[in-house]
Amino acid sequence: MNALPVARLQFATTTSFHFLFVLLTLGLVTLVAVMQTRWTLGGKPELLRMTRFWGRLYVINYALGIVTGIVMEFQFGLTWTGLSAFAGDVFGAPLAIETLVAFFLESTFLGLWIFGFGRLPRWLHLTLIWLVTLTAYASALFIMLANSFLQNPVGSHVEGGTLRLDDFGALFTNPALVASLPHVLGAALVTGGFFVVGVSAWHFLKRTTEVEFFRRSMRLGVVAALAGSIFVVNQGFAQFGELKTYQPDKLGMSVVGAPLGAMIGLGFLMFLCSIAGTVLLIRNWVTRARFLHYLMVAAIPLPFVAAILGWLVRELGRQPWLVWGKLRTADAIADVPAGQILFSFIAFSLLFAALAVADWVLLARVAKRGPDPAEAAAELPVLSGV
Amino acid sequence: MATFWWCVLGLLTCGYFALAGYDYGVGMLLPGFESGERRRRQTLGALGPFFLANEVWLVAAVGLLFGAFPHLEEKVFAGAYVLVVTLLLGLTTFTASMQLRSRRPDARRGAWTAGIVGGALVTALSWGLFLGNLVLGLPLSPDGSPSGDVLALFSPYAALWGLGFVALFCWQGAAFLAVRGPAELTGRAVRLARAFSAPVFTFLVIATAWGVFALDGVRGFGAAVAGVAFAAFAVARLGLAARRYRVALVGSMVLSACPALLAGTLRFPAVLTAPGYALTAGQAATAPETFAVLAWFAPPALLVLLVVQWLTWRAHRRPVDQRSLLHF
Repeated sequence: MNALPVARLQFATTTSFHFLFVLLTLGLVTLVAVMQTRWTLGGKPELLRMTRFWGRLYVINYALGIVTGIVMEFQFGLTWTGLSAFAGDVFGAPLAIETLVAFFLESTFLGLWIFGFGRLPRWLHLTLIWLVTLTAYASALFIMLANSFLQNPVGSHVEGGTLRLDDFGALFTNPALVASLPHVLGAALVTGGFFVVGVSAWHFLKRTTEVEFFRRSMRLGVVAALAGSIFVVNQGFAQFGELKTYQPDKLGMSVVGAPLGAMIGLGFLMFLCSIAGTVLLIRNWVTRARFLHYLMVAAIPLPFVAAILGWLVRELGRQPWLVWGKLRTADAIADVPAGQILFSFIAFSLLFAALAVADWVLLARVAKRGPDPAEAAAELPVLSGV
Repeated sequence: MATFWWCVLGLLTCGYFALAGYDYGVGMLLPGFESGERRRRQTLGALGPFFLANEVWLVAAVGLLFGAFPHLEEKVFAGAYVLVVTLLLGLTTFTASMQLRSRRPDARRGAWTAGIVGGALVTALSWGLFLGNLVLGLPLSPDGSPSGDVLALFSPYAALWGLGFVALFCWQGAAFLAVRGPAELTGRAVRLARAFSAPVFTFLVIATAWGVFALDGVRGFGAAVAGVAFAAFAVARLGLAARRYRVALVGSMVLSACPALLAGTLRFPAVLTAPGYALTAGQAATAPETFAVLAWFAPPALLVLLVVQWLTWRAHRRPVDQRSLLHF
């Protein structure tokens, strides 16, 4: 048995799971931070309840982002040992910084935020959610920086069979990074926006009594989806120009064609939906158009599908190289027997699938239950802040 | 330079075991400690404010391992492939179950509880086996690549460490519950901690005595770490006897950090050994330019982190009570 396809499939599966969760994490935390900011600035009590309800969904989604991230981090050393041997001196730095500066601090701040509800001064608590948001974005920056280095190994040279770092700053101005990072962040915002709009639409379909709550949520979601999709489309096309400078033949590859076309189609569809939603914000038509609400619920998965397609374009188009022009994927795989890799692939795929389904079912149930009633007294012991 | 970063990595790794050890301990003790759902939530809630912060020490340690010692990272995980896979399966199950268990007030939780207990047990066993192998010397091919021999990873010495870690983490978890668990359950936590003292002590004695004969190429650091371990055990035991439970917890945390400390210092400057193979810290290290980049980011991040986590500890040092926010 050949270990290479199994190992590649395993990395692709882990990354796909991870991507699905972190995308919503990034988008949703931004919206929660905006809600809490508006409440802290003297907004209505509705805004605090929104912070709690959407924050609760954010925390459920975050759980699987962490665990899939840990497995990804280990997989470099488990299966792709040739990458550390060849490019570890350069590629290791952004990964180390990501874990230390971003991931480590993000989780610590998130813990403080969860346990600070109603316990910490308002402004301090607000600062915490923004710190969580900023460190989450920093995570995205350093991971995209590391990925862009694999796409286009700038700032380094080959010496004695390994890559040596010349200029760390060059990694930040990598043409593979400058257009793709805003593209991904825009996609995250669209995902968060579509999620909030879709869940709110479901409650309108069920004739919720929380009209004010979901009207405000939906308006915020529509604005986020519009802002995000402008970025996504704009930065998506900006990448075509950049690509010419470092991977000129990528988009001509046959494996890339179908996912690329589907992603662009979905991107425009979501852009048009966001524009339509924004127009319907006039006089709150958007909250009364029942036939549209069905479409909004159905549209929740669209950003996820588009994101996976986009990721396929970027990564399949890199093959057969792991580090573009420098290290082949086939040369980077560890000397571990194929049977052991197959065992771990099956075990992780089953575990992730089970956990992902459980997580999504939980997310759906908590979303359906809606926010806690406004006048509920704090019960003792206090079960949860969010 | 490599020595300095080896110490930073040691700090993160030891910090991880000192802190996360009681997470797994509480996880394994969960069904035996209290069966009522309300009390069970308070038991998990004792961990609450620390849980996320504890677990990410591992993420940071592995990130730094990749950044600072890429040539060790590529050898050590692939070399212990099966153990790292079981470790990750356990860790994933445990971490996800902890975070998702109590998210719906009206839901059944049996499966999540099983995930917490089973995940913690597999994690503890895998860590013991992994570190036991590191101390003994990984079964690698003479050129340092994985030998692919699964059974060699389960040598009797490593198996002893696997079982020893289960006892060690349970003991640490009980000490933690004596400090942070609901006040009315302190007595139960202390009894559990006393009960686990004997297996932990047995593990210490056998692992040390057997190690004296089984290990070669050992430097004086090994004896020093063993000394620290016995001292930490004595402090924790005295703390339990004198009802100074915070002292007992600190002692058990130091003891949990000792195996990683041992694995890191035993043959230093060699940081990874196998029959006929040794990798020194200098060979494992990244290039000087990369260290210079890391030096910009790592110290400020670590400083912020230590301050923030210390404040978290200060804020939640008392046992959970009616007013505590539980979350987990």
